[in-house]
Amino acid sequence: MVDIKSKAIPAQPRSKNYPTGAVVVRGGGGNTTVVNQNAGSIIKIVKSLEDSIFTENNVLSSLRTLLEIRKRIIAQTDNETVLSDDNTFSSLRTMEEVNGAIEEVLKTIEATYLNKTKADKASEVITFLKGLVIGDNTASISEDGDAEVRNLIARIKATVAALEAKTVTVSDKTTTLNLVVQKLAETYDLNVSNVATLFRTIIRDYVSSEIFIPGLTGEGFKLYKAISGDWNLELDNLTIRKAMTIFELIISKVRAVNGGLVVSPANGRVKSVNEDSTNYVLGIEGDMTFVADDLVRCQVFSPSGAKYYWVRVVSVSGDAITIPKSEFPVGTVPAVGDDLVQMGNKTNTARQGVLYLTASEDGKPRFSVLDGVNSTDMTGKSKVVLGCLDGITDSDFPDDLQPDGYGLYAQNVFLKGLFVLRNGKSVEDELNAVKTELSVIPGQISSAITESKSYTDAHAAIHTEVISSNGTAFRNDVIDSTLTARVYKGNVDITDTINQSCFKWKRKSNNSEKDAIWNLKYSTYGSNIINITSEDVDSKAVFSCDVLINY
Amino acid sequence: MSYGVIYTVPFKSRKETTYLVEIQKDGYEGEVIELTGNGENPFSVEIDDEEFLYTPTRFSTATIRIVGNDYLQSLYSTKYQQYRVIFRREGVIIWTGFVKPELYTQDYTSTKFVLEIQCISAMSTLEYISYKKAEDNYSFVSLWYLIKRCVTESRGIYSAVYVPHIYAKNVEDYQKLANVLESMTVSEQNFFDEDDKAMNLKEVIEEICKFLNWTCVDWLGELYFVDIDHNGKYCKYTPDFSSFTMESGNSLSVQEIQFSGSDHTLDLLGGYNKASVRTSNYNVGDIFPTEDYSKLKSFANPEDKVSGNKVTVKRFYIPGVYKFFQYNKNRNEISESELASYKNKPDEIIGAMPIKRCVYNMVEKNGQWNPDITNYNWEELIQVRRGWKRTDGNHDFLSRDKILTFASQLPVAPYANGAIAISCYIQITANDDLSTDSEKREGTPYCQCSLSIGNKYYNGVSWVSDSTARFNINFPMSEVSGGSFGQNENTKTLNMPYDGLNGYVVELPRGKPLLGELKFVMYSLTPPPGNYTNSFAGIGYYIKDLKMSYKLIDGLEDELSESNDRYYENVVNGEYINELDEIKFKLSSYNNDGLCYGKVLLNDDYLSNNLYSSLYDQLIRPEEQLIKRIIGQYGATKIKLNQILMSDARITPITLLSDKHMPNRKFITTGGELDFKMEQFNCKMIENNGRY
Repeated sequence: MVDIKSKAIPAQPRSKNYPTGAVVVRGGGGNTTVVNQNAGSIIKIVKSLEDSIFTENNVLSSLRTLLEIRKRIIAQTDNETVLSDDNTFSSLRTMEEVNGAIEEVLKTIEATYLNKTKADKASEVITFLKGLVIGDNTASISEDGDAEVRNLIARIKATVAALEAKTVTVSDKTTTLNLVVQKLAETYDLNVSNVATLFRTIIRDYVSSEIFIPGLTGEGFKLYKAISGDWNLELDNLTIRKAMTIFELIISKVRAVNGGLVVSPANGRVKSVNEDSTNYVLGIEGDMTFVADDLVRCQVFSPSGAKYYWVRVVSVSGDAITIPKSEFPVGTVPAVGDDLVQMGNKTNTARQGVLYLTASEDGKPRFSVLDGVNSTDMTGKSKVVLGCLDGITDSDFPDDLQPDGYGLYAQNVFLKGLFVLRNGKSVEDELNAVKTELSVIPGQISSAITESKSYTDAHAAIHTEVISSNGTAFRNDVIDSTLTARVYKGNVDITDTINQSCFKWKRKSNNSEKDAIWNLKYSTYGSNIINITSEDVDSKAVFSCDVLINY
Repeated sequence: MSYGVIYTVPFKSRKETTYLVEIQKDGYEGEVIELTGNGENPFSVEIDDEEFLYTPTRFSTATIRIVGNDYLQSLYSTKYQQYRVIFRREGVIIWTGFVKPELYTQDYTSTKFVLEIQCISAMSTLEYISYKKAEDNYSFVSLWYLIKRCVTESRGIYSAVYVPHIYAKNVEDYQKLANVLESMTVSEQNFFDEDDKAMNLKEVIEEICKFLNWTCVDWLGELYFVDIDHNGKYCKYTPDFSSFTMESGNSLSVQEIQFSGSDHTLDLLGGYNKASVRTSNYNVGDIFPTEDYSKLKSFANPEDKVSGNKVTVKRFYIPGVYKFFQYNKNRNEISESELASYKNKPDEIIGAMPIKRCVYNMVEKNGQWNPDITNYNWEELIQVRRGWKRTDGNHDFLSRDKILTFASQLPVAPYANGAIAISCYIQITANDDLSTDSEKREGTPYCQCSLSIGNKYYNGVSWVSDSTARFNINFPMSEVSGGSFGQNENTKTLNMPYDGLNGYVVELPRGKPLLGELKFVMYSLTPPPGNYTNSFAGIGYYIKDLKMSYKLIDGLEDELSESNDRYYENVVNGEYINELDEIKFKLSSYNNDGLCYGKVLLNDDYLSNNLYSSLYDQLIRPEEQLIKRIIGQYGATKIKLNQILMSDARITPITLLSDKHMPNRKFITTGGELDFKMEQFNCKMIENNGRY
């Protein structure tokens, strides 16, 4: 057994121009770069700004080394770097951190010990074993517990074992429960859980419902004092049965758009119309927001009739846009005052989106999002419709389930949260129910198959096969074959379960007399196996076997 | 071009056998001049008698000796295959070669002299023929193709080529006589060194023979690839390699051949202490060259752009390593000559250009405005303009258009057991003049890339055959502070054993390699899906630190670096003093060596220790097999005989010779000199311990 050793050694470049171990990087046109001129391991210099991983085979340049060191120094103003075992504070930062630590220590000391020079609080009991003197002997408590003070005020209650007083003064008194409540209500919030019947009520700030949101779409009510000092009342309805005196009545307007509202990258109103032989040049009021290839649409219904055109802007210059006359429908001309709305762009995909909002256009209020509008053909441009979906036809849905009623028709729908079905169940609950029902089905199927198989096994057909050991055709009268009869029930061989006396062999040839003799001889042969020789066959004969069984 | 006979030298041997030397000239048409041969020895052939039995080639030389006073300086040639020499015995070609180039010496004192013309065998002229690529680009070629090409390029007239039937992919293939050499392939880049200098074809045939442990011998008009240890049959190919018959080597005793002289000698050749094989792996090294901006030629130096107190300086260059793609406003690619018209307005070039950029501020001091830098801090970037103008609705922006690829062919090698990473930074600008700002970008724009090896293409998940497959490299710009460069998404995971790689990681298959040329194309940045506003991918953008790197899988056996050769060694016989010279394989088997050009593949998978050798009746590694063979041959002292025999056509390089005075020893011919006038063979034979 030859066990050949193998090992890796520094490579010898094929070209003799490079030393052993050098790594030569090929550039284009035969240019090369030698990464490592020295033999041995590869040493790659990682430059100052190079994005490279440090390995055992590279070294840092001086500049990179400085940068790496600098990266590990946390500067005075650096509050983002996480402190670790791999970085260190700068001198200034160290001073700052030490000062901070000292301050923390002082705070701890202050929190732990009573201060002699500042007002202080003790959070635990302090025991003065030798007594306490306050002020310049103004008051004192001796170690025996004798206290001497100038005045003593007990705000709630004073319990004394014995009271010796020269003068006792009672400044106020509480005599009834009502007065106690009255006193308490002056001091604290008053919550009444049932009915509060107020004899008189003075409101200094506001009275409000539990939830109050101001404005047209708000809710609740509030009677409140504004900063200006005016008192305001805001609520849903106000019924005055008798007179109502109003010094000034201001009715707020709610703006509405009659017809449809289009949101698109540009719009404008025509302020002037000039024309030459082929183009209309339309001056636009205000900022120019149209660009070349925009498709602008004007659609006005007036007592004098409807005006409609949807045309392509070929160029924009200053405050004017140029549109070929050929773009306009026959008989339609632009006019000063026409409101133009950009609806699509022939080439710029960023300007092919349109939002369309309508409440009454065809009695089907809805909000539509269109995209890819690069012509006046709107086929397939409607991406989302929210609102009344009546009339939308989409071959993706079956004929009897076309979009209708109020809903969302969109390319994709991403819903977060609960999705409740008509039957009141959420989608998750419904799917779980279906899942449970489905889980039962395999068992039912298995059970059905088992039953079916049992039935098939019990009622399998019985058939017989006769096998000849030496083929079925014989030549030159040389006949020597063993016939074996096998009985099958379905695919199961049941021959061995049958009494041999049940097998009755038969022969049929051209000679019926001899057949009868032969059949008589072998009707009681009593075996499923029989040997056939030339003696059993005159010229041609067919052998069969009857099996008489009761199954 | 065909050869025409210019000179003939007829002579008869002492046994009255008719011989004819024909000297043919490439492209010659004219009269044939008959020259007179030297009466003693007009033509002789000397066969290389290197003593080492596993020498890869054993080619012959010949000498024509002419008597006369003609000056034949015209036979001096500078072309290696200009004068072809055909030597016939009774009309049958028994040697083909060429007049040795750049060599001519004659007597200059006598009026009559003997002129000796040195010839080399046709196969020897391979030394002067450099390897050329089979196609325009490097590809994988089979060893069988290389052998056939070497034989064809030698322009020799060989009546048969003998190839030993010893190797196969497996036993079944061996029994079917399947030609395993057709299934053994290697990258053509293996035959070009780091300076793109090609090997000559003689080196190629030598490397093949070394790898297969064979010796190529031209012998009396036939070419033999001799396996000295092979006792079985040889495939005898027709000269055009179209068919073969099976032949066995014969056995002869020197007594049977008869002696033609008495100058016999016997040498004892020592065994060896140790044998070693070094595989010159020829590591690919860094697959992807990097652009050295200091070596690029200038394309344009536009005027500095001043905006407030910010100054932007740009220098445009002609790319070296990369090929960049440029377009006109209609997104049609423009030619190099069209590109030249942008020299005075290089910022308007749509597509990619290499630039250096320096942005600095002017600061006021004592009433004077001066730069806040003293030296240009150049950023080396690739500038990519995607579109003409932000408000231009008439022209589409670049999105899935090529912006860069590599200018030169990347290594053609077997790629496996590693990964490729692509990383770069981009800085997006939505300004028409491509000036930068501090605006924070949103979204994740991406650029498509295509990466292929041979006929396999990476689709972002796996390597497939669909040539349209591409993958997306994402740039999550929302994580980048305003105006800064954003790096592409790092897809390396903890499960990927490529320590040090980062960026978009493309894993190569483990085990069976992908074969062929590696190609990479990067396409223009594209806005994220659903955000078609051009500010997401900019009017243009700058690419910084574009880096593609390859990393061998961690933890391969021996922890190989990318610059190692493999060394196999074993003791032959510790009692001997001399070590056998290191045998260097430039074709070798794979042994966890990483990405190398020198590795032979077997049926598109690495050939490792899985080559069936009938010699050992097992799968074996060729390098280890050679050492085993050497142990078998050189574990004991050998006998070398030098005997003067009668010239006998029955002697071939695969004949086993015996001598009744050397019982139980068998010999093979290892060179000698054939003297056709004297019908004599000065036969050098060395004991062959291998087969018996």
